[in-house]
Amino acid sequence: MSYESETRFTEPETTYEEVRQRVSRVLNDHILLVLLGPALLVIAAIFVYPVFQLVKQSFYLTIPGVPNRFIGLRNYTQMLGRTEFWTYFGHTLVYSFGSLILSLGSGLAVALAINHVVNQRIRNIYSTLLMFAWAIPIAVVAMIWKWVLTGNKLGLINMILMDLGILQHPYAWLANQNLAMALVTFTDAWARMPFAMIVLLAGLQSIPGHMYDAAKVDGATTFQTFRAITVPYLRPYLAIVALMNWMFAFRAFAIIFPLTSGGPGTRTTVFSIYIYRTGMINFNYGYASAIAVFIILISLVVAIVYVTKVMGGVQEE
Amino acid sequence: MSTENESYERISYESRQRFWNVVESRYVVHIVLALAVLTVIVPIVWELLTSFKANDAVYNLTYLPRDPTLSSYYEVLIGQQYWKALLNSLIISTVTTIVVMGLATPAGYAFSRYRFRGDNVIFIGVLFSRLFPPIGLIVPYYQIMSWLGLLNTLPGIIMAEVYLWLPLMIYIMRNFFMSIPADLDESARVDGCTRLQAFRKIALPLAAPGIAACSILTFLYSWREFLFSLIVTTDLQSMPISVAVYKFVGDVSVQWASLAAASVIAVVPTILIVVFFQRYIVSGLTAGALKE
Repeated sequence: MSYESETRFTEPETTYEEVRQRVSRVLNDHILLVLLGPALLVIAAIFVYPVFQLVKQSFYLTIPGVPNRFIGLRNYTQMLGRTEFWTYFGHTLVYSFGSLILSLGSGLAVALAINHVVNQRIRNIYSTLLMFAWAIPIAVVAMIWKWVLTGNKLGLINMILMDLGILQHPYAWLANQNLAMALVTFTDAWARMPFAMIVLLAGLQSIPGHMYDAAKVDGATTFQTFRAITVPYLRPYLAIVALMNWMFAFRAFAIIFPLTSGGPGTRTTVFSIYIYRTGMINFNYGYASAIAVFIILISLVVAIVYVTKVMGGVQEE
Repeated sequence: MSTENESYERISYESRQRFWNVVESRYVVHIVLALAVLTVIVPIVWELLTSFKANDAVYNLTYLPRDPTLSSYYEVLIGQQYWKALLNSLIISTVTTIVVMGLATPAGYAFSRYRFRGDNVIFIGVLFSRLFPPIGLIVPYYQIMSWLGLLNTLPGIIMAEVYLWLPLMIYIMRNFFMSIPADLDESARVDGCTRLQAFRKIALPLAAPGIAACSILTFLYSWREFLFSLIVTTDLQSMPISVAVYKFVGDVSVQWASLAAASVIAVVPTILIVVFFQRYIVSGLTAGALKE
């Protein structure tokens, strides 16, 4: 009787400790699975599966209410045969390269300027204020500029220009066939400039100061110093900013969609708007998937360039 | 090249340097920066000024609000029930941050410390999923969400946000862990720590600034996100503020002051985060763009 109660008393404690140890041993034996498993599982479920679904669907004819039919590459041949596809491709290239040039140029100018400010507090104030453009929600960026550029007399630009006597009547900026693309591109670059600034500033700060001292002793002018020291040091940073800003502008949606929805007409319709319109408004899933696959392939090429640049550091270690 | 050198020699070093001194001078530097700051700030300030006007007062065409009022804020938050969108944004961003960091921190550590079969391939796969154009996935996401009954729900948006930010945060966390010497883990192992303890008790506390940076970035990114929130939601019950602001345009006549108030509400948290956590954001963005 007493023997039994004793075992009953001690048994749970030893098993608890044993279980804890065994669990800990199992966890430590499969450390990679424990650390990496959940994240990879989630990525597989919410990334790999949708990609599979997308690619599969691009080979099907999808009409709402009718069962999907396998049509092989017909979505692709149809896509490549349409002139609108190539027009939108052109728009996308103008938009992405325009945004890249503007954001990289202004980001570089601002980074160089900030790097010349000696006072740390003033540096921080400048970079904080400039980062506002990056931080605010992208759709709100579009709404803010839509309000500034409003075509009636309420828009800020029209108000200022009319007060100055430059304009007699309000001008509909975003309705202009040629201006619309320039303005959405500018707005995109406005939001992308701070990222360029931050990365290039990090690049500038990585240049050892004694390089400049040595150049000064050798009697180099500022421009020569810039060309011989700053540019070579900055080149990898410039390359990465260029790759990323271009890649992200190439697929950008949240600026154009609220600003012009691709208009006037189809003047600012880029690929992202094209996909949205085909897939989410006309519900032509198969055809939209084919366009998406095309964008993905282009991004993939750029991504490979980026990854080889970045992975250079991984191979060396 | 030779003509360039000759022309350089004709002008004396002093006059050339004097020219560049002007370019580099304090005045030019501050003029460039002031222009940039104005371009960034003026539209934002204009939105702020408009938000303090009443909807009718917008037509007075004054730059400053003549009778500053909070009526537009009241109209938007209570009248149009945008407090729901604000709450949705808070929930989405907070839960996304917790889920993403819970998954990305150990994964980033694993990539920084362990060599295993296919590690490079898997890591490149993660990098690719981060560079993948999300616009390509809107159609399958919309379909999967509707199969799962997740359209117009917060879990639906959170799922999309986790897809968007998890790979990037794995990459940034890996870079942060790479900057912590692996010797520390190894000496802890010699002292009898298990592998898991070396991660929990040694590496994790040291990575705290990196975790903070990534959390702030994830929160900001999911607060700013527009595309997937637009695809998944159609009503205010589950719509985040970034999409709710856009919905104002759909109205027949735009209530500009209300729109401005809604925008300011969406913008204020992000600006506060930048002002207070700028250092973390910069370190996160740099670690996310560059190689270790």
